[in-house]
Amino acid sequence: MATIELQQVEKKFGEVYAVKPMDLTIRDGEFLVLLGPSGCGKTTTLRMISGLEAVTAGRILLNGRDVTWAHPSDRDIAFVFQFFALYPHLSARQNIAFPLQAQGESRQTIDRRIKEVSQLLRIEHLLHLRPGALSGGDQQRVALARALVRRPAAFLMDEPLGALDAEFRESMRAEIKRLHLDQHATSVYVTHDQIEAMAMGDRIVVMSSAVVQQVGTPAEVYHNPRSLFVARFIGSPGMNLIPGDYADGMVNLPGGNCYPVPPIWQRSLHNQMARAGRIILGFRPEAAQISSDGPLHAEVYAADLHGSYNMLHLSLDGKDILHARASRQEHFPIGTKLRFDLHPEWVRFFNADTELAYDCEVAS
Amino acid sequence: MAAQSPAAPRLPVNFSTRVDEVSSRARLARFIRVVVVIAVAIIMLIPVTWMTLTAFKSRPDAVAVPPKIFFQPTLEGFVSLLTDRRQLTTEQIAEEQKRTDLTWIDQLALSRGQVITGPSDYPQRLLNSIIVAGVSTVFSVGLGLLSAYSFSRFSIAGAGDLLFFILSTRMLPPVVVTIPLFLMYRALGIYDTHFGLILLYTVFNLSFSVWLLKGFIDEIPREYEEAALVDGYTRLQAFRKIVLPQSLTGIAATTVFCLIFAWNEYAFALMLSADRARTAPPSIPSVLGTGGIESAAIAAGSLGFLIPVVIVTFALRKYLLRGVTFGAIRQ
Ligand SMILES: Nc1ncnc2c1ncn2[C@@H]1O[C@H](COP(=O)(O)OP(=O)(O)OP(=O)(O)O)[C@@H](O)[C@H]1O
Ligand SMILES: [Mg+2]
Repeated sequence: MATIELQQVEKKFGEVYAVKPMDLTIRDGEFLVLLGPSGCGKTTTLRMISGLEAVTAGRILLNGRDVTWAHPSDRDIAFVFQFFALYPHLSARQNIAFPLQAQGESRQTIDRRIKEVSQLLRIEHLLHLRPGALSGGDQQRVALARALVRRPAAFLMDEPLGALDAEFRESMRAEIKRLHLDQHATSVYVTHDQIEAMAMGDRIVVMSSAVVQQVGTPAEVYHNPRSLFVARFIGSPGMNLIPGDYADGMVNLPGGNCYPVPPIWQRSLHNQMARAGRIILGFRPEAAQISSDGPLHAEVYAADLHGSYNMLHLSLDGKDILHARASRQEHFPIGTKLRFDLHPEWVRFFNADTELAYDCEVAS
Repeated sequence: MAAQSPAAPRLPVNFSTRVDEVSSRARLARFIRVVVVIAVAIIMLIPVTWMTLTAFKSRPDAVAVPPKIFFQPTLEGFVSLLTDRRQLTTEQIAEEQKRTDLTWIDQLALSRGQVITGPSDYPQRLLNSIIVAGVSTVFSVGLGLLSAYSFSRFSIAGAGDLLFFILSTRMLPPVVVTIPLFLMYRALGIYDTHFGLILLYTVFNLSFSVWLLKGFIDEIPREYEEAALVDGYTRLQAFRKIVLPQSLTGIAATTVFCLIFAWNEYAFALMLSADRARTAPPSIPSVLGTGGIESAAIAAGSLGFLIPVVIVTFALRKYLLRGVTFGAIRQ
């Protein structure tokens, strides 16, 4: 059980930042997901927490103890690698016993703990095999067992499902989540898959190009993205983002569209920006409501059938594409001109220059 | 094969491959492969076989034209290899023949008109070879492993230049430096010592072993060691428990190469040793002896020289044949 605190932690490789100074507190028993595109510094962050990579500045506290310069073996943190990193010359049992041997546990204790953990992960029948003889999913189970068996203060997992087939991923995802609910160990989980992050995380840390963009629950990062990057990155498809001009409570959008700023936003926008200026309007596909008296008009560019709903690709001016969700029953042939409105509580506005979201005093 | 009556219950089909059911094309391909392998093996083995045969031939048989394949085997060659002898006059021979206390070895020498004056220094030379080659191999592989690991795992300032420098010690023909080395060794008092040869062979092999082992260690994913580090081991323990077992193949290959080099080295051994530390390669030709070429003795000496390397290579064959990583990191 542990809380982990990063204070202004940064990592530079030469002159290049892999992680820019970041503050983060990982709560006791929390399942925290580090999410971001390739190369944004997720692995580096994890490696700094584990001690495999030295920080170039900042402090790392584990349960209040400064471990910034502690050796990895002195941190009591387990690490699950993307490609499992099971020792190929040892059997599954020896792999799992390895961390216990480092702690100098007795034979009986080792046997008992291996038994417990292999029952938990259902790998008892595989213990005599070498990693090379195991399937990807079983290798991952053994890797998890090796991490679990020593009952560490915290678990770090670097894309543990990245090397698995799609079908395995889903079931292993559920399994890891179950393990977490059982054990309630502080966990940091790295992924670049936003669906995985939304499904698993108690909180999500969204990173991009070495910077933490937002920290929040899945609902927070989905509904209230703090920046354009988060808005685009979370959700599939991401949030619709339309550049426009704001003036006198109206937003002028491409294609001659004019969107009246909803009342709940009026005062907030008024306080946060000049009377007129560039602005970016954002809304999720499900915030669009097709109705003949809506203020916005668009042309249907394409439509995807998703079974339980239809995803419309709309175009305001024949160029940029928006996504809007329509019910299963509504069919719109390509080229149809339609009008739609936006659910006022689900509309978001972003500063066109800083790319950051404007706060709404009422909406949350 | 008895024909089965239609009424009999059908036996389950056995799908194991039967020779009489393999297609004739496949059998032909297999036949050709076997023939090629045998042919190559024969070509490779002829010199060794010839040497072995010659070692057991008498002097006339050894130089006979056309060469004899069937002959009366004798240990003459081995006796001349392992002993120092003196040529006798006809009277002395007659005198010697009257003696009754002669061993079969003495008689063998006598049959060629010689008397044995003492053991030869071949066993000592072979022992020198074993000491020099063995110890230098242990050092070059051991030191090479540690430096290869460091080059592979740590960021070392100027690592590329250092590696090039290490390799550059190999870029000049060894013979070029024998004279300067000879003078240096004399000045340092390590001329004709085991230490001198071991030092030279170690340094010479080190470049090779660092490069070869670095390749093998680079192949071992860092994650293995990192996993060991977070599992609670120090770097040295991780090296011993993870890197070492995984690089056995590389260590075995490097050992064999270093050993063969140190074992076969001729030029330096000739220049830098005289008597105390002289190894086998420069001494075998000196068996050439008085009064004609002792082909059988040379062959016997070469045969004895071959055996230790064969034993080591054979002992390490398990590791030489095994793949670099036994289980891939993914699967
Ligand atoms: N040892 C290193 N030396 C130099 N640059 C490095 C090193 N390790 C990582 N980097 C750089 O730091 C940045 C962040 O890398 P990191 O591995 O943390 O990204 P990531 O978010 O884990 O990406 P991925 O999803 O591809 O695993 C990358 O631009 C990478 O090229
Ligand atoms: Mg990564």
